[in-house]
Amino acid sequence: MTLLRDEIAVVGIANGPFGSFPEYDDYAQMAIAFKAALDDAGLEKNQIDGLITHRLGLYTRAAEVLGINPDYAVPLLRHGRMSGVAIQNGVAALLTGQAKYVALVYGNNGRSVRDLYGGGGGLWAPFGMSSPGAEHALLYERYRQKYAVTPEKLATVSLTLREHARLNPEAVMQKPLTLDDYMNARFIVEPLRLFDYCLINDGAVVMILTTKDRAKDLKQPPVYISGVSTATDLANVSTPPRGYWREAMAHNAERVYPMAGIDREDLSGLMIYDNFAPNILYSLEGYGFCKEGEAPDFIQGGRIALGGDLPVNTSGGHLSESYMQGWALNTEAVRQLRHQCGKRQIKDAKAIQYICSAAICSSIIYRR
Amino acid sequence: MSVAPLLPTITDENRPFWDAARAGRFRMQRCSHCATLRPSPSDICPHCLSEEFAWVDLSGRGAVSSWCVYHRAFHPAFKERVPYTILQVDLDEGVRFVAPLAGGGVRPLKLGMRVRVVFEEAAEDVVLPVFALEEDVV
Repeated sequence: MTLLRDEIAVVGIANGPFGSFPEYDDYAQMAIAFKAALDDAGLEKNQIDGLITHRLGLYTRAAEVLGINPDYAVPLLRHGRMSGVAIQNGVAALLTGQAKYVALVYGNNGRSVRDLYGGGGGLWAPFGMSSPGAEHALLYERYRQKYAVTPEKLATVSLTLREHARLNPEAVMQKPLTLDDYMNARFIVEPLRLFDYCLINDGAVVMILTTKDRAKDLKQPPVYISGVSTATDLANVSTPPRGYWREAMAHNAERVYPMAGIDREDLSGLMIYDNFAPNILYSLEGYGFCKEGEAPDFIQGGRIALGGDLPVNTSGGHLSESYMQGWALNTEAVRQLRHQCGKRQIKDAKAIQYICSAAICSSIIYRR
Repeated sequence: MSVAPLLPTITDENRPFWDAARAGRFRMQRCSHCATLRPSPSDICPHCLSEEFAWVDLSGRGAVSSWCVYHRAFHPAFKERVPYTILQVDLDEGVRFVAPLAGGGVRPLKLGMRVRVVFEEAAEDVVLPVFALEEDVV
């Protein structure tokens, strides 16, 4: 296994504001964040010779808006699982010398255009079955029947993340969330309630990667990408997955920890793709933090809260910061490892793992 | 005022499925080489990549392996139907299929409940295979 540690670093990051910005399109929001990420890194625009675009409709328009001619240019589809793929590709491009400084750029105007995530498309739409939330509802109903999970136990995910968001001035949700609020909220697709769903917003996130030698000359303390792995469950993608992507997650776990040269107990925290609250349970089990069916108990007692053994989504995540399709979780990992998180800083953070569990499962380990 | 139903997009690949449903039959593609059934229609077998296949009648029987209840319509066509239940069914032939609970609405359900396919008219000339609980079928 190649030890990736210290080879590739994140040197510039920026989150655009998250919310409702109909006055800017997604490219403009991305460009504003791009400029902020260059400033963060201490780089000039024309040093960027690698560009990976995500969600934005056209990589051509993205490069035109930024006014750059990168040697390496890759567009990725709008699926949220592509954020991990983008980072994996950035690492590969740098390791093989395709580029010196790779910008990963993401823009989202889902709120302004009223992105519904469901309705007309897909094999099951005429049956009345569409939307990622309903796919997760099917997954979770089976899970909660099998392991007799109460809604109060699942609520711990949303309540914990809301408390984290309240320590993050960039988070969209700042109001306290009580168990009563959670339980009394309407079902969207039952068994999932309103607060089990992520927040659709406008926003942008940019990350700039480079090699370890180049990283040393830049403004910020480098945060290293120590491990990166993807595995898929795509062959039966139109039918609900049978195993909660556990095989793909286990495959990632076999690779990503040895690649980083660390194990689970060395992690200071986790950033888990929380498009829907139960996905955090599957991810904790899939990567071996607890056994199958144990996650609803594992997360109780403050374990995944700041100050607990294994803080999860310290920014508030997709449930309470904003749904930025994994990106703002990755920049949060970098901020935690730069020790720039203020009131929500994980004390002495040394290593953070990003996990996205979907038809493409991805995981990244960051170290300082 | 009634809203237009959400009609399936009929393609050359899936037309036999919808034609069969209209005739009260629940059919699926089966590879003629390795016998793999495919719920998502395709010209090619995803198991052995053979191009040879036939549309075969299925028993329409299976067991509930999960369900969910829509309280919100993601498409206007379903606005008057919420709340409605979607069943995930593991068919006796070994493949998974997703379709609404017959008659709509919400019922107490359990994993493993036996169901069978019945047919409901969604629009003129469009018939949907849906799942009825065995206990309801005389």
